[in-house]
Amino acid sequence: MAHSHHIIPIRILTVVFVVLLALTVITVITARIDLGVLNVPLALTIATSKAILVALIFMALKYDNKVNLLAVALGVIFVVVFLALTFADTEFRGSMGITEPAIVEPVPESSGYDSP
Amino acid sequence: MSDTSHNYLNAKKGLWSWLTTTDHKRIGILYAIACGAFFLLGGILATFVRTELGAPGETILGQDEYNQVFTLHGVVMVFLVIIPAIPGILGNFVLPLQVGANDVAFPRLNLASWYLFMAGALMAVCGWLFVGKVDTGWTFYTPYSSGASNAVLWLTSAVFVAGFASIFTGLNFIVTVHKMRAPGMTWNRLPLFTWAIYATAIVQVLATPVIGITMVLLFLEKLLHIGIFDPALGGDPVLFQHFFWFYSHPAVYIMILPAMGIISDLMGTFSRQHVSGYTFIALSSVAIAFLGFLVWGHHMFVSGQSALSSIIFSMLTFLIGIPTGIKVFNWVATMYKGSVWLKTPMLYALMFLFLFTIGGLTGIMVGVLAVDVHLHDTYFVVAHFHYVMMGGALIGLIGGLHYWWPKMTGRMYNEKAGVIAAILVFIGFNLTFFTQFFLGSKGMPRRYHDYSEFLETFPEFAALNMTSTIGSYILGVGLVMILIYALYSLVRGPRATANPWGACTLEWTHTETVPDEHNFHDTPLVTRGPYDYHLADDVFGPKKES
Repeated sequence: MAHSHHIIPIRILTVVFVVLLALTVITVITARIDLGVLNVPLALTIATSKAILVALIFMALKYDNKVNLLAVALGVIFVVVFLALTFADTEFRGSMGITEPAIVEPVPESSGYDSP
Repeated sequence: MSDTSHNYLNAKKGLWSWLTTTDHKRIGILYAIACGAFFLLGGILATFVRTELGAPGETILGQDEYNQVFTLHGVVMVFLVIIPAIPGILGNFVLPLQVGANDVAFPRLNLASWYLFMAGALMAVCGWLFVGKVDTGWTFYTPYSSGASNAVLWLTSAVFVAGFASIFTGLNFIVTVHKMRAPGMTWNRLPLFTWAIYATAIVQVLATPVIGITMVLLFLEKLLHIGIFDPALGGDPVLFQHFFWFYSHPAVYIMILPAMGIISDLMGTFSRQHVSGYTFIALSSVAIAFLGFLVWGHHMFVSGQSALSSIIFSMLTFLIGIPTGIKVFNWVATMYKGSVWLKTPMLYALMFLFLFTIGGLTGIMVGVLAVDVHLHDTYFVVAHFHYVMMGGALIGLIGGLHYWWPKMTGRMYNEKAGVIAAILVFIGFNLTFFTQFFLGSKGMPRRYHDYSEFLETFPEFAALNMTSTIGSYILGVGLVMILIYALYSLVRGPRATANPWGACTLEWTHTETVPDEHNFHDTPLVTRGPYDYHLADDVFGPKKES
């Protein structure tokens, strides 16, 4: 079955290319600044933005059959599932189910029992 | 069918025509030969394992050899037999016929998949013969595997390569089902085997890359000393288990879902009834495929993972019982008031129902946190997963092979021999593995080559192990019997009639008994569902007893 591909205007491609370059520059700059706990989230946000732009525009998922978008979305969902449930382990080890050792009071000798 | 009729078997001649074929049916046969050979190898290894355990003390294998033999048994059976067999053999042969297509969407990629699979298998066997013997178990757990010999790298590379075969096959089936269905073959007219293979294909495409990545990470750690799993290098060994089971638990559904599809088709055909709850069975395959991704942590309850994630994984594990239960109840309902025809394929379908239900219910038991702590790494778990993988997946495969044998070969097998073998397999299987539930609940650990030290406390271990070993021999006799009458049928078997089971899916009603190279003479127009026997009777007459 013949089907036509959407032709993306060169202007949009150029704009996206420039935005990607700009985001790369921002990545380099922010890597040199210590933002504490925001370091990783910021880097991941920039990287995700770049990936979305590439997938939607350069890979033309925005204009393509929505089933293809669903296929990509499924892949992303499963990565999120994998990371989320793995973090539920690595970030919470020892946070539940472990109780403090009981403090054992010495038993007075007069009680007639041996001290443990 | 006469000998001179034109069909896919005689369309081209010579070994080269088979090795370069892009015909999905021939590729299915190539998978059948390869998986059959590996099944024989895995079975022989299992016999060694059971013989060693038949009596207390060291008998035929030392402890190192025992570890190596059960590792190879696991790797061969999981990666070279159970995972590829049903999609590779029956998926390839049957799926395009069932949807009314003349081949899969990407025939060359299909052949490439078989070569990748064979390359992976060859790497595993050569690595074993010439590089070294791996004794880590089929799970390759770190830190043991990262500290073991380089032979582990060979075996993991083999798994990596074979994994790509699985991805390509899955991709091919997804595109075939989406794009190549015959006119009128709507989604709610797809046979349930095709639905199951479709759901499996999604899992293959989404999950298999993860095992590839895991093996690459293991490779990088071992060769370049990058700390990923090894605590000495700053890694986390439990992380390996997350990676491994994120693939390997969905892989259990790669194994069992296609078998469930076979059982659905068998139940319909041999009960002569519309499959009860068709839509629910179809969608429950998709639900199992999805939920299968969320439960991997139930393999890790005693690994040291956080209590929070153990609780989450335990709860999610129970959910998977729902779509599975939907299938089981609907299969039973399909037989209810049906005209049940106890031919050999149906015997395997009933066997599946019985054995898989035991496997599934014991899976719920080990999904309970507190129970699992007691049963983990005992023979209870060994029995549970054999009830699922062999009692489910392989019994389904054997039933499917009997069902589609006339279509694949044009010959019938000896029905009486089929029934006797099925009875032997059923008795042998239960003797082998049901005893292991007792052994495991008493605490006999898996992966021990000798249990003498437990006999003082548990003297019954000796009798139970002996029973299990005798059962494995009976099982072996049953399986060898199948091989013998199948080979005999190829040479001397009576010619199959056009539709020996009175089935009404397209592969039986619209193709020759041995299909033409191009499957259909004309593009079929589908006007009814796959199990509308009341309509199919008008087309080709009622089922005849033979």
